[in-house]
Amino acid sequence: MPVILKIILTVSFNTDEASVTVKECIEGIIGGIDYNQNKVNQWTASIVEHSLTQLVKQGKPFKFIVNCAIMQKSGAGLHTANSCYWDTATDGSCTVRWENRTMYCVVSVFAVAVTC
Amino acid sequence: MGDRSGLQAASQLFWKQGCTMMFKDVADFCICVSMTRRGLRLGMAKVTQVDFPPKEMVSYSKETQTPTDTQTHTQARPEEEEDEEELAEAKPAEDSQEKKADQEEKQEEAPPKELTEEEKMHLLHSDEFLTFFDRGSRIVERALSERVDVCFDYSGRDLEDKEGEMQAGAKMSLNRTFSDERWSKNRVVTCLDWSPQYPELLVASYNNNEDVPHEPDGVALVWNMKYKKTTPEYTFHCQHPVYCVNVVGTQNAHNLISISTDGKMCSWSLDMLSQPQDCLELVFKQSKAVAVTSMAFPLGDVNNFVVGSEDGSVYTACRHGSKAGISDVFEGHHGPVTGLSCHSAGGPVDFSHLFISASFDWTVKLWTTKSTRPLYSFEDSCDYVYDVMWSPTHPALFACVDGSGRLDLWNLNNDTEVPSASVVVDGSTALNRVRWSHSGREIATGDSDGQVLVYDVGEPICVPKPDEWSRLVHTLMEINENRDEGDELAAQRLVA
Repeated sequence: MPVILKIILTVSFNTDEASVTVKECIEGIIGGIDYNQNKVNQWTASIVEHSLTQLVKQGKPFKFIVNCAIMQKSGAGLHTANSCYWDTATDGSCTVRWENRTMYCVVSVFAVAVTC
Repeated sequence: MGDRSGLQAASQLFWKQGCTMMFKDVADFCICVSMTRRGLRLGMAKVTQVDFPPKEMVSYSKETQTPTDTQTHTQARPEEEEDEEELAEAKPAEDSQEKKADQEEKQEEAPPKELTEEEKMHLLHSDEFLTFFDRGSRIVERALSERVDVCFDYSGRDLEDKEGEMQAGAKMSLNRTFSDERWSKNRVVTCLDWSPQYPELLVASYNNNEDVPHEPDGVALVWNMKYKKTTPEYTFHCQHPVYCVNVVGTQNAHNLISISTDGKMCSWSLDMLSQPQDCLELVFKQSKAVAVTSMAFPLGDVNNFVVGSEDGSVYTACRHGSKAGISDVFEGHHGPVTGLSCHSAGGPVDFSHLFISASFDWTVKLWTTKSTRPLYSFEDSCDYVYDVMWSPTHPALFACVDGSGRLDLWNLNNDTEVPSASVVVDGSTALNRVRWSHSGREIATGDSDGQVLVYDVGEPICVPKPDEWSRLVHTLMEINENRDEGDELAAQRLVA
């Protein structure tokens, strides 16, 4: 017997899930470590790669852009902002702020839905 | 359906028209879905912002008494420069004439170099000159303020008449008053201390001057008793008002301890004053943070100390060790504790378990660390008692100051009901701080108007006789007996 299905599909970006994924990546790479100028480049690259891999693994149809900034705590202030023009129903971004005693880390993930 | 293009065409129809489709199997359906193209609707996303504010840097600057920006060409300059200028003006700056002048002067002195404007300014602002000027002006100021009586007759003939005057009423006499128009006017004296190294130096700290908000909030001035000049030796200022500090330890291994009303005790190294070396949270019974208003260390002890709090209780505590933090509580005052002092007069008998506390409840109470109830309560004051301190030399003597401007000296061996000596400061100021000098002969007090007054205490009062210590042992025994009797009576009354 033929089965009749009426389905409405929308895929939208889940910011909370992505947030958790990214936070775990950061913790795994620089959790409990002090700022070290020699290693900080390795760290930013690892964080970006690792987060990206984890996000892609989720298998959702998105294009991702991941940005990571690490700043040493020296008393200076850091201020950033971002905004996008896209399909607000399906696309989304999330920004994760993380800090320890010696440094700040800000990771932004932008997810743009793949339509085909 | 089957073939890909067919599926693609179908998918477009599917979504556009929302019509019903027939698929051969689930696989085809999935492919069809994945091929859909929906109409794009684009919009602006909300702006995401990340802010890490800059850290507020607490700065402290040290300034010597004569600020550098008031120096100009017209002020007194070292002799050589004056001579140079005069000579330079006298001679025209032409080569031939200069050479001639040089030759003329060769025998008298080295020819003065004519400095350009720039060089002069550079010299005046150089470190060497500034240090010299600073030292020189301080010495000159001291010399100008000295008033030496050249007609003093050491044979004593003149003194015969005055002897009577000097003996009578010589309990306490005002020696000096220190006040600075710019830095201490309108600020309350928050803390005082005498230098152990130079007995004539006294440091006073002040809180903020509400009338002048752009001046630094915290000021500390070093005053010199030895010379009659009326300006402070050194001036320090910092951004935050200074409340209370204490240096504990020996000359080599010492810490600066500061304590605050948020219950935190911080220990600082004098090399790095931007961050405390370590902090200790003072919490009573693991829950209540103690709002500390005063602190005292017993003589020679750098670990155990007593603190008084806003709620009227006094606590003993330790800085280090397994029992770091609050140990015992001494309840008795009905108002915030304003001052604490641990017994420090060394002698044949050790009284270091005694300490006294002053409070807003108009009383000064005597305690021993061996008991959590007060030994005695001194209730002669009619105003908030702001500070109290044991004499460093006399075991039974202590001073206290209150909000009505009264400075009282109590001698436990003489009388515990009334003070042995008392003086009221002129003007309607409250006395905020009292500090004996290390010799035990002078008392410094600070008032709410920024004045520091130093009193000389008469010998009969402040110099202890050899039997003071044993007399104090008797006095304490009496006090103890009276207290126990008092408690028994109170208990009987409750029962009845």
